[in-house]
Amino acid sequence: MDWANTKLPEPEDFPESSTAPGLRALDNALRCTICKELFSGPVSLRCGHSFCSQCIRQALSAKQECPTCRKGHETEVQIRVNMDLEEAVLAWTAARSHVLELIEKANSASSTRHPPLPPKKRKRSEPVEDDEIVELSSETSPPRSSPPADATLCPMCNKPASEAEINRHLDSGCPAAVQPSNKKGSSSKDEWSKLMSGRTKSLAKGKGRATDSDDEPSPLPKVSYDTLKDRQIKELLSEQGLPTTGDRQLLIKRHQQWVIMYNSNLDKKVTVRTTQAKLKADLARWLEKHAMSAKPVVEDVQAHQRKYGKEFAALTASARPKAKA
Amino acid sequence: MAGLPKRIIKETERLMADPAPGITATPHDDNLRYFDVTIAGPDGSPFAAGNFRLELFLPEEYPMAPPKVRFLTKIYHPNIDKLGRICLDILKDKWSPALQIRTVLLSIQALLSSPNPDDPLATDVAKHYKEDEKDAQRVSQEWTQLYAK
Repeated sequence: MDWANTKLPEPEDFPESSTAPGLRALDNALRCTICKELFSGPVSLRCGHSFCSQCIRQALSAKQECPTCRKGHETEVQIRVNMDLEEAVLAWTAARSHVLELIEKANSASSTRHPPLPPKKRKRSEPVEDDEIVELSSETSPPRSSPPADATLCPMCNKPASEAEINRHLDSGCPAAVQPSNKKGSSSKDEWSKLMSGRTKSLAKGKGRATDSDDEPSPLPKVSYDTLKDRQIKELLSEQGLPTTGDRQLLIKRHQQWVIMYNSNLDKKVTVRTTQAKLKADLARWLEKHAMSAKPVVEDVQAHQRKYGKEFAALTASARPKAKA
Repeated sequence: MAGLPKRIIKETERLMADPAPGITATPHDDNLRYFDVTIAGPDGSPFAAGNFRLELFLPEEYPMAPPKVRFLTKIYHPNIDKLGRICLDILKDKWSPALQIRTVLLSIQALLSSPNPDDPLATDVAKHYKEDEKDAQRVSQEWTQLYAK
């Protein structure tokens, strides 16, 4: 079976608690109960249970209760970003392969007693490392390792700022954003997006979440598609730069999923957020898997019948005797 | 293999490496969402010593939608009908994406230990269980010996 070759990282990569107390439990505790991955953009519900932002948004859109304890009437509005948990997960992600390596080393050092063990361990942990390294280098490390050469931290608010800017920043009482170039570039866009979202009533909601800065993008509002015409849904999609092809059902699904993905991306720390382009690619892949796999439409019925008639007859014939027995 | 969510792969690995007592679940080689399941009848129940075969299918929406599970072995149980369909809340409206294959199968095993004739699927069996539990259990035991070998 080929899935056996692609060993995915899981808590059981770590030895039992008798040999390495807490490690397996730690890895397990930092995993989302819905996707079983290390938390990505963790958020908490009122009951205190945490999930990946995207997982819980998806789950709540099907059923408004906590998946773990079933406490009811949870909606996306009640989701709170769990920043400290996110920090813990990012740190553990960085430490994980290192810890596994240390365990492996310790094992091979004491392998005189159990010679067959170490090779097995190595087999288990190697793909894990590869996985983590790829993920890390593409997501977490570049933003951290590439501040401008003259970068320093503001002593008051701890935000990175260039040395040239730091005095002005301090004098003006630590405004949150210390990247003037960024602000200038996006201000007109901001203006626009405010106008746009103002039209759809949710700006107030978004403001509550956007914590510290003006150019923090606000989450997209949920839309009640039933009240909209196809044309209006297409407008919503093109506002987001998304394709407007397909039937009404697909349009709705595309926008719905986009809102979930977009908003959950905002729940992540700025440095680990995905780019819009990548997010759109993810959306396309998701739709291919979920929406498109709905029944294919048969256009030429007669040709279809000719093509599959024999197979259909054979299938009915083979099913009949079974049904009688 | 392509397009199989990581969560399903992980669950399968866990089920194979560390199966729950009295339960096996093996995916088909050609469809990794389709599992052959066996559940051992729990001791102390009329289904003890029986080995029940089930099929389990993970729909495209899993884990947002529950797995589909059905008994293939004939069983005399108020919550399981003659087509093998199971009346269990977590397989329907009480499903939660935090549940998994393992917990579903454990719940089914628990359902064998404690039939619930007040929420029946097989009405005749449920009636039998309510009117004369001893005799109904005798039939369950007979069916177990007859079919669940």
